[in-house]
Amino acid sequence: MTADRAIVALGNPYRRDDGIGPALVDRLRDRELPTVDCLDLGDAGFDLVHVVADYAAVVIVDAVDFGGDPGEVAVFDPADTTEITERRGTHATDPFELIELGGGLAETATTIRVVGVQPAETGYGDGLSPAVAQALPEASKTLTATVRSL
Amino acid sequence: MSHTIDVDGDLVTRVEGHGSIVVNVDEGELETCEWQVVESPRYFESMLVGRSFRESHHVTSRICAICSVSHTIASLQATEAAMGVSVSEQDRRLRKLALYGETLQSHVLHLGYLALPDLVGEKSVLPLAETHPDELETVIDLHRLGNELTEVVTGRSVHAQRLLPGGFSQLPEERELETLLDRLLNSWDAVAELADLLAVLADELPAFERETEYISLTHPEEYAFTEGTIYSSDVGEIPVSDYRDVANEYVVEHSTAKFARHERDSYMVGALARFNNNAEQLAPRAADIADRFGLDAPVHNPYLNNVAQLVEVAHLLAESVRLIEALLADGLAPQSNYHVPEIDPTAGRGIGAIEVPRGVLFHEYAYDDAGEVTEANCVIPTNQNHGNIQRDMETLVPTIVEQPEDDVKHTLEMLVRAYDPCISCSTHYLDVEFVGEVA
Repeated sequence: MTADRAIVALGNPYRRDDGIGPALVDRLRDRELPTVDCLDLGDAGFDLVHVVADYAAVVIVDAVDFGGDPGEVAVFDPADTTEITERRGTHATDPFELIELGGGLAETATTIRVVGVQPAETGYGDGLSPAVAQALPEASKTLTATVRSL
Repeated sequence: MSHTIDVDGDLVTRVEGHGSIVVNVDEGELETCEWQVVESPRYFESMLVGRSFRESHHVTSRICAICSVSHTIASLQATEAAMGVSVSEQDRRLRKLALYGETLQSHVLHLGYLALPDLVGEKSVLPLAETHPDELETVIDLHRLGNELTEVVTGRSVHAQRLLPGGFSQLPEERELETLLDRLLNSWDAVAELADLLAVLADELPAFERETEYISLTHPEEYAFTEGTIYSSDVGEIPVSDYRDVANEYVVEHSTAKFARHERDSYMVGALARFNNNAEQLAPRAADIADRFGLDAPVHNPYLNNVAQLVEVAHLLAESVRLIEALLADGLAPQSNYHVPEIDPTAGRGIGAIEVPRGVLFHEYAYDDAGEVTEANCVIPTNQNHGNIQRDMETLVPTIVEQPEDDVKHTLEMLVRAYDPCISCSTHYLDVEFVGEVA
């Protein structure tokens, strides 16, 4: 069966909680999600442009600082993140800019959701912080429910 | 006059590199001119210690998502050299193909996503979707081609899983290579369109020249990427075993990333250095593009690193075609899936040296009898270029300091971006801070 949706992990497993995305995708690989591709893109690469153009719906999972408690999970539409929009304008690889660019080039609109997990630590080192590691089951449920809802 | 531009900040966490330009001019006198960098992969070297030779390359792959295959191959070379592991001709060709794919996508990413907005006077790539939609489609298609090349060979476009010490866990199928070959052969029009676009905009590149030392790998039989010896435009060939004498890393007060110097107080690595040292080995189609832009080695304008990257895009495409044709003509020697070469770990020390998108990359590891890393050293291209960016700025700023502040800022940002500093590894944002008088 051809996948029409993708879960995209962003983040670096060797930057502690920044590795929450790859960790969650690893947990989902054996789940029954027949029309969903699970992709680990590492740090926000330009590949997001292709992913947004290739799938009808994309769920990005990453560590996101939204001011919550460590391990707290938030689901949002990037189009609603006005703060990020205001901060654009650099030549950095901004994943939201890539999403917008990919969306503009796609033949049909792509639904995007971000499942963000509030990190506690993003310094160098492997292994999630205790607070974020404890949140893995809940974040996994949220991620699965989000992709199934699209 | 004091002016600060703050472009820092991201909600979604990234591996942050951070570069700042600080210029201080007092009554027309340049007092401070610094390229400040905060970031280096030192911590990855620490994280390698104690890990098995079977996972070193997976760890270093995460140094950077844009050049993850590059770090993987350099890492494997170091491990294989340390343990005396040989790699078959077929696997060497496949690794080369994977690296060509990554370098192709990285060059196209830099040209289309970072450099192009500078040349058309935009702050980011987004407006190009309106103003240059066809050209942007071409950029994205070529970028996808590079990814496909890497994915067919390594199983993934980022953080390859099939590469391992001694070879591959799984080989591509011949029909995949045949599809890829068709795709490559049908991409020459896209390369021509990219060249046409840059030709129109090339006059926007500043006419600044400063001769420096150019360092790359070189190989008697090919434009070197995965094999060869070190070559300096000042002193000629240098054995890879002497790489520490080439990249004399040193610390400056204004940067946490190390700087490097060799015969002079700085040197340049990357596409322009490779072009200057090995131009006569370019594929004919790549040489034609160099001729079209008047690129005649040696070239001393660092802004033309952009054009050298375009030339290499053509070379990589041509060489990928040649490699796939050779692989198909010979037929792929079969192996089982999830194949793991038998390696008895032994104590030893080895160096990996390859050309990656931004220049020559060195990995050196020492292993104990159990095959665990006891010492690691990674010298990344962007760190080797920091000193040269600094010297370029010191030469350039006095010649443009009478220009409006925004123009000075733009010219310096373009200079830094011309070196294509690794977005993930080293410099993510540019903050330009004027702490003195600028026109």
